[in-house]
Amino acid sequence: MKRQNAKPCSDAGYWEPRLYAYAENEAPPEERAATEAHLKQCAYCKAQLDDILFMIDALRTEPPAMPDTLHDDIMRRVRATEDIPAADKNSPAPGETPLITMVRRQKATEKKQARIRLIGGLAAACVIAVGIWQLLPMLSGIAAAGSGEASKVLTDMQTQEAGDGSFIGGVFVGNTPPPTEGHKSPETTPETTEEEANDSILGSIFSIFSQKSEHATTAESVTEAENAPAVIVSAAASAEARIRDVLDTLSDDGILTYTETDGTYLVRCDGGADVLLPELTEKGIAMTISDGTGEDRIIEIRIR
Amino acid sequence: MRMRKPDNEADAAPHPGTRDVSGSEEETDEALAALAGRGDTHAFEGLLTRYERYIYKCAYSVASNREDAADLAQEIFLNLWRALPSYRGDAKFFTYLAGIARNASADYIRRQKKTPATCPLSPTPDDDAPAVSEPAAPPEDASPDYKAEQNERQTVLYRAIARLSEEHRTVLILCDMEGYSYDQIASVLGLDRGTVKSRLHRARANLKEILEKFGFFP
Repeated sequence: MKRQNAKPCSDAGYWEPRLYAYAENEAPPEERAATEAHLKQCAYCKAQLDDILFMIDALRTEPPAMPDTLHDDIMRRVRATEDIPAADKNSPAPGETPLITMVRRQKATEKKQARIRLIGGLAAACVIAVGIWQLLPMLSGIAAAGSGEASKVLTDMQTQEAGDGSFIGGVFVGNTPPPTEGHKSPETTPETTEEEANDSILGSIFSIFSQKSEHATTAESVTEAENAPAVIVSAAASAEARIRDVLDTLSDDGILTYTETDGTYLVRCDGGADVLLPELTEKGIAMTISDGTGEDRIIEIRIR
Repeated sequence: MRMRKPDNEADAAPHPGTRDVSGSEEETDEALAALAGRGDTHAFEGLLTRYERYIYKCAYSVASNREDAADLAQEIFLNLWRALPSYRGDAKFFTYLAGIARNASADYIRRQKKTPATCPLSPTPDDDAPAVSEPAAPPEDASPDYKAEQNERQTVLYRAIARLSEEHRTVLILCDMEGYSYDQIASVLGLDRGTVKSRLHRARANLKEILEKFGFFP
């Protein structure tokens, strides 16, 4: 009898595992006897048992025949030269001591970082070149007018370029330039800055610097803002969980190293300064640097 | 109907440590994997012999035809061979192999542009009845009717298996198709016997539900 045609068993939940055990010949004698007694009077469970046995039988009979050549085909390819496992860069070579492995890995990491710096340098050069090219019409305007806002913008740009900033692998790293009299703070004239930054690479650079100045101003309540190294990451982030991702990115790029204990990050930059307690801010991560001189600085990691 | 034999009478099943073409019958999977990771093809062949049928069945549940299943199984083992140098032995070898099989299956599905419903990693229970695919080979001396029925049943069965979660599919194939005992499965997967039993029960119950939707039962 099909189960659909049988009156549902009121104890189906109780009997179901026992039916599997019965089908598998695993039920103890008393349970087996009880199950058989129940099956005599319950058509629903009898139909269930039939389905279980049918399914188990199907699983065990005539599996899809594995091609006879599969084993040999695989081994042939494995033995072929091209499929011999390539020496994994992170795996110890036969006979290699752990120390040698560690040194080899370290050197590989250094090489990788050097490549990243080289690529970053080239990218920075391209960005600056494009920026200057974009600036040429403005320079003409300055020469013609000899005054005005454009002059201030140029002054700001020149000042900021002197602030040791550079792009490394898509990440800007640099010191916040000391405020100059000619510099227009975005808090005071943000619209002017935005307009002048319109749709150009130069504009993007300027915008980044403006944001940084804004943040440095905010952070002054914590510590000194002047000459604070800043890192701007061109990656989306909005949650605290991203702190580690950002730090990993910077660490991979060789900008810093860090360790984490119970949610507290100890970050080490070039030069050995310790960076304590990264905080998630509205626009990124801010960290306080203690370089041991008693003069704390700020490091900013801005996430756009 | 065949009833399952008690554990100690289980069919002679391929079992880690008991069947090994490399001759190192006492070697664990992990030890063989370590050797294979250093380029020992003999050790690799030992692993291949232990798990080729299991992997082929998994591949068949994904590909639904013998040729693609064989290709996929081959890809899985070649990926394993390439990956073994980085195997550290901190996880059970079977878990490691399952991960490689999972990734290769996902790649295969992407390549075939199949719906996620056939992906063992993301089954879609609401999917309709299984598609017709190339059947597996029935016994040569079987009647045409029997062959046709058997092929159809097998196709539906493998489609249903593909819809199980990975952990359910694994224990189901190892136990009900490969004939591993509970203890053997517990050893391979690094689980205790009770977990294997309960997981297998849930796997069968889920499979039965899926098969009912497919109209598998007479």
